[in-house]
Amino acid sequence: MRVFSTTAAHRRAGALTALLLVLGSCATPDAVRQFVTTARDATVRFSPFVQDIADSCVRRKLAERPVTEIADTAGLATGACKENFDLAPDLLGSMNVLAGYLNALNSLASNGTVSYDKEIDGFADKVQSTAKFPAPATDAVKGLAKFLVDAAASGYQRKKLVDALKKADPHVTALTDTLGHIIGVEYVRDLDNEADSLQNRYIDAMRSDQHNGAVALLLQREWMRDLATLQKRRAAAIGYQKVLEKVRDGHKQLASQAGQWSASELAKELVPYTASIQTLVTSFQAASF
Amino acid sequence: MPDLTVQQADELANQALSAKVAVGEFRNRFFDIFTPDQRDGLRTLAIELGDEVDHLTAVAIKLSLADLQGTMANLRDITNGVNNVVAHMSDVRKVITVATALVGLGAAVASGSSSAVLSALKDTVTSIKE
Repeated sequence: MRVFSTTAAHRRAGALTALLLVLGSCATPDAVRQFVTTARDATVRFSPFVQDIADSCVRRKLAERPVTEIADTAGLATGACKENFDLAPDLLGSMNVLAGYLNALNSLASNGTVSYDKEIDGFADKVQSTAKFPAPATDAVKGLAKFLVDAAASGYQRKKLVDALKKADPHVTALTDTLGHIIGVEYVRDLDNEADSLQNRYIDAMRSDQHNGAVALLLQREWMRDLATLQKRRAAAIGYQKVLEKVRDGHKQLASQAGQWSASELAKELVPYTASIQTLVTSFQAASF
Repeated sequence: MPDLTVQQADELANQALSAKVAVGEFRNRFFDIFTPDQRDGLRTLAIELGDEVDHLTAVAIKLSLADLQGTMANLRDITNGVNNVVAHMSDVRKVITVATALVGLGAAVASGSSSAVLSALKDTVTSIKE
């Protein structure tokens, strides 16, 4: 009886261990899937910021025209902002590569095979570093694109997830840092630049109508409305930079623990990144573009 | 343009933006004592500085790294000096002297000549410190 009990206990313990392993192996990809899909969804929010980099430049150039001018100067303003318009395809293409990589991780974590948008190949081949989009970012784009090519061509399976995370981590860091800086620092500075030009335009307009209280009141309201719009965009841009930092840090956490994951610990580590990204994305969705 | 680090490019752009804001405030503060040409000249300089914030090429493209570092130091001095004039200056002659130097700086930037820009930056710093 005692022997039987011991055997039964061993069987129960064995069954429990097996169950935990099964649960663990499911929970690990679940946490990964949740993180990478949230991160990938956040990349979709990138394009309005990119579009507004050039638009902010155009608005500033228009605001710098004389207040009393009646002329269509949109062409001039757009021409003056050519560099910003030229930057947009590189930024959007790079974010597309990052989204493709996150999709690939999701596929691997879901026991699927990797497929990706073939436009990524062409983009990665031709992207060149510039003053506004420096070499670490273009190298990262090429590195992540190469991963996608290899993963699709070689039919990577889930066991390759660990390798993928470790190899790609420096690229993810370089790309999220550069894109985050462009949005959270450079674009924010462009908005401040625009706000200053706008303020001077309103001051010039106010000066020319300084004896008309009603006009002054309307000008003041218009200026405050314009300023509030720019401030919303500014806050959204800073929020988006934080999103990219969370993507970078969450990915780094995954990469550093790859191969030695405990399901519950991994979930505990990743959930805050996932939750932060969701909260940040929700908070800046109110920005009007 | 020499290869700038991200930090150097940021610093130059930030300096240009601070200088632009200072020049705009200077123009607004003393608008009534300026001639139309001075008002236009100051406005032109502010616009040029704003373009530098955005593109960092018009002036920077022809400068060496050493010149760029000097340019940043001069811009910082100009910004501080102009802000100081806006906050404390009551001497009209001094205001006009500074305005003349700033208008000259704008003309130098518009000329696209790096040596003219470097010279005008130094002249502006000198006129502010006098």
